[in-house]
Amino acid sequence: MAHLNIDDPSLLRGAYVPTAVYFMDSDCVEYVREDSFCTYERVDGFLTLIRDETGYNLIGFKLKGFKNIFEQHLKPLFELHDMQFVGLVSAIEAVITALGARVFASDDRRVASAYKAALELAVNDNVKLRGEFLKAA
Amino acid sequence: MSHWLEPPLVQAPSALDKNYIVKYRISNEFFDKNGYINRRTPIFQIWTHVIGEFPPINNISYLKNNLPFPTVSTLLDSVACFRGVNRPCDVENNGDSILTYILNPSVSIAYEPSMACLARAVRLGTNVAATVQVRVTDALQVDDETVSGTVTRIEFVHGDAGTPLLPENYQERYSEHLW
Repeated sequence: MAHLNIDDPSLLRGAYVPTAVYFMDSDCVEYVREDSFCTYERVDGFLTLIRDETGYNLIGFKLKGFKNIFEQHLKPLFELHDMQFVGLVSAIEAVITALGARVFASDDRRVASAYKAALELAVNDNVKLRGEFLKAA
Repeated sequence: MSHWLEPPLVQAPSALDKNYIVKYRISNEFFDKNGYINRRTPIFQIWTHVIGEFPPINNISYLKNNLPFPTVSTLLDSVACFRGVNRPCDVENNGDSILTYILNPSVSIAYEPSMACLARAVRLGTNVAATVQVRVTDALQVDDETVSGTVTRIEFVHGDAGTPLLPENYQERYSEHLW
């Protein structure tokens, strides 16, 4: 990641550009469409949906325990893209595959619809985790 | 005046003994990366609800002087503390080094530039709680022995409708209800 010049006044004026970020300290990747108040809705041990101030509109998601997913499923894809980025669609798909039928079991439609919603958001917004945010993973 | 991207150390009740005060640092990474992508809302929320000060930005006095006032608090105002997150985190299977402090603010803060100020107050619903995650020192190998851990993030979640308001399904989310 480029060095952050905290004295740059544009930091308080520049527009937010939706970006997926890996936070090493909390081992999660977070993506939100807008810089606004949001609420976090836990789905399971891997996925949390992020909703806007109304609590209804989906504006992002958080992928938890990302280091493990990256090591097991995403590293080859990352290397394939010259360590420039990894698509988060692949990350969500990898977890769905790992969880298998459990995600889409008929008695847990809430979980299935949450994964579907996160996947759609990742596809529609073409969410990628850039290499500069990934080196610590 | 502090710089808005340079948070001070904060005080909190110890996870093991609520009457014992410990010190935590705020994650530099959380501030740096959110600052880098111009996402200010979670930074403003850490200032207001964890550090206990309005974020040191231009014209913040507008929020101090107009209703509703964002709830200024610190971790000393926590209503509960949990350990473990029942999921993998880094090298831990159950995130046992993660403490979660629960706050019950009634008004929060968000980035929203206007002619008056760069932030606005956000009145919270009656069933929203703030969770503040802390990783204890051993997990992150912080050098300073006087610092017991690092505040890694703040999140607002739906509550369980009780008093004090705890996160919904807190029995499943966390390994242990410490106090």
